[in-house]
Parts: sequence; structure tokens; C-alpha cells
Amino acid sequence: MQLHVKLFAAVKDVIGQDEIILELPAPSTIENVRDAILKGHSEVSELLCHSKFAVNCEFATDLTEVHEQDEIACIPPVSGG
Amino acid sequence: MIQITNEKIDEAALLEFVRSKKAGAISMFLGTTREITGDQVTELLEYTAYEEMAQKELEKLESKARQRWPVLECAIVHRLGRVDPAETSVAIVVSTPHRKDSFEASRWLIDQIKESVPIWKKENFKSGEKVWVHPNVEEEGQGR
Repeated sequence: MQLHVKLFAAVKDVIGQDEIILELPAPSTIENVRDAILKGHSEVSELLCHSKFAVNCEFATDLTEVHEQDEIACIPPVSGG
Repeated sequence: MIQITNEKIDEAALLEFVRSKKAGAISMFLGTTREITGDQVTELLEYTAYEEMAQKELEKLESKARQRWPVLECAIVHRLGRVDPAETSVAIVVSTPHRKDSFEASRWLIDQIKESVPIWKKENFKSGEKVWVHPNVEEEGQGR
């Protein structure tokens, strides 16, 4: 299945895109998504291991299952306020 | 009331929004851009957000604050885009019957915002260097 992952902040800058598309088998989890991004972009490994993910605007865990229509986002450590 | 805006924050308007005859106290917290940090001089901060989720997370925080404290009115406004030194990036204004609760609620809200809301700032230093602020990530990972 095709998964679209929104990117933000330093992850977006380093990879150079605001979204990446991953091809993963169904079912997959956030852990699979994280690993797939790492595989293709080792330059963000430090950032990624400190990043959370969100699925449909809710924080997810590594065990959260993802589906083709889900809105997935990589959330690096936040710095609002 | 939650707002994410690209406009300058109108602090006076927010004060009037929360003012209430039932309130004995109003607390206002403003996060502002600081020019000097250590030996670094900041020219400006740039804020971005995962806006849809940031809105939801801020709404959840307001809701939790209302459960914990007798909040009469609450306004949380976060600005995006360029915020110059001394300007306000975030405003939290809370009115409550008694002052203890207004201090506690406003402090809790800013602490939570800094932990969980998908908003990020990029430091633009006078040196020309621009760095995303990502707490706990080693410098090499910060997109320098």
C-alpha cells in the first residue's frame, strides 16, 4: 500500500520535501514507517529516533497500525511557545 | 478560545475577552522572542505548525485546564511565521474566581504547549545561521 507521510521542520528541510511516499505491505505499523524512512534517509536518523508520529492528527505509538487513507505525520521534537 | 494566526497578537483584546464579573483574577502569560541567548544574537524566530493537529492539541489542553481548575474564560493564541525580538509568539490568558487557580492554570498551559503541540521554531541568528529548535536532539541533527 502507498503511505503518505507529512514532514515538518528540520526533517522536512534535510530531506527537502514536505511529504514522502512509502510503499509498504498491509498491515503495517508506525515502527515499519519509521524504519522505511530511515532506510531511505539515513541523514535524518538522529532526528527520527527522537521524533513521534501522528496518525489522523492523534499521537501514535510504534505499534499503531496504519492504512492507506490515513494522514500520517512525522513530528520531530516540538518547540512551540 | 484557541487561535493559530499569522497576525500580530492583540494582547489587550485577549484581556478583554477573558474579563468577567465572576473573576477575581486574570493571568496572562506571553512568550516573546528573546534577542540574546548565551553568546548568540537572535535576529528573529520563524514558527511553523502542523496546523490541524496543533489546533486539536490546543483545544484538548484548554479542555483539560477547564476540568482541573475553575476557569471562567481562556484564550490561547499562537502566532506563526516571523516573530521579531520582543514580539509575542504565544499568549495564554485565563480568568478564574481566585488568583491561585489563574496562576496555576496559565503556567500548566504553557508548560504543556511546550511539550506536546506540533509547533516548531527556527532560530535566525544575526550571524546568518538558521537552526530549527528540536529539544534533546544532538546539534548535527538540527538541520544546520
